[in-house]
Amino acid sequence: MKAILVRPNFDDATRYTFAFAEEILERCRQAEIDVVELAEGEAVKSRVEEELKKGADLFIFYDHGDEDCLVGQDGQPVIDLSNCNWLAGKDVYTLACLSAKKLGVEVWRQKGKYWGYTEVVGFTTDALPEFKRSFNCGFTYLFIERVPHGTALDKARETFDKLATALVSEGKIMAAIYMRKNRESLVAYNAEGPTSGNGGCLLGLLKLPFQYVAARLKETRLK
Amino acid sequence: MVNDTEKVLRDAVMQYLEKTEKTDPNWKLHLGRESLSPAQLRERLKKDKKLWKEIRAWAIVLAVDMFNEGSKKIESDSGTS
Repeated sequence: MKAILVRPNFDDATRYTFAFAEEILERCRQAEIDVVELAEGEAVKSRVEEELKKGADLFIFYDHGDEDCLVGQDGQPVIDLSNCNWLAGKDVYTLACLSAKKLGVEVWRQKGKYWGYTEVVGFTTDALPEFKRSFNCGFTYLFIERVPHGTALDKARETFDKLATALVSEGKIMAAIYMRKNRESLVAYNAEGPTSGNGGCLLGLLKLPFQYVAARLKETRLK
Repeated sequence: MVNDTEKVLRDAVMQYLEKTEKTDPNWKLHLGRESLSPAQLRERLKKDKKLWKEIRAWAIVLAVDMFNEGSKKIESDSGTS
């Protein structure tokens, strides 16, 4: 298997995600995945397209994104809707914000598999090992353990849940909140289609617990 | 009562961020391209209703998770399934 790993490094957040990706490089080497690394100055559109032209099975991207693109070192998209045909039929693994919303759907339409997030991704500095584990665990399930995407997604969601619970017990509440939120926007297109599990019904769902708790509290007061 | 619980949660979040600022001055929340210190997050939460609603919603989801974990533990301790 041949992989391309792209990891820009130009602001506070990418300083951390750049480091998170180090473990992915190690995992690739362990699994004897032939990986080309495009880091920092090389993490730009021209170099990404150049390497994709040579061929790859897996595209890994650790940095910022938007609904329709993955953002490179120069702040410009390395992949967007105009050149995502390069990812047709490939596996994509990313922690970029929002990119599963449109870009991931387009890659999926072109017979690719897309592991990513439909919402803005958050993490806190008091739980960096936990966030690294959450962002990287899917890679281990998919490409080291080689389980199907559906199984990998279930296992990853379970990992996020366990980490969130552990963070609560450690008093890292804001970290737990964003671990839980990231979990909900994680998708694996091909494990499930873009129309399901991508948070579409979530807002309605979120209102329910609040209404439920409020109703119970009101009942208690009336008694 | 709903407003009371909203205030209780908001005060708890603000107090948590104040304590975090004292114990871990370098603490930051990275939210996409934004990096917020505890003080910056407190200020944002006073003005940004969308962000507050997001944190409130996920705090409630976490509370529901904890109740569900508790239910599972009760079941396993009592040997029922």
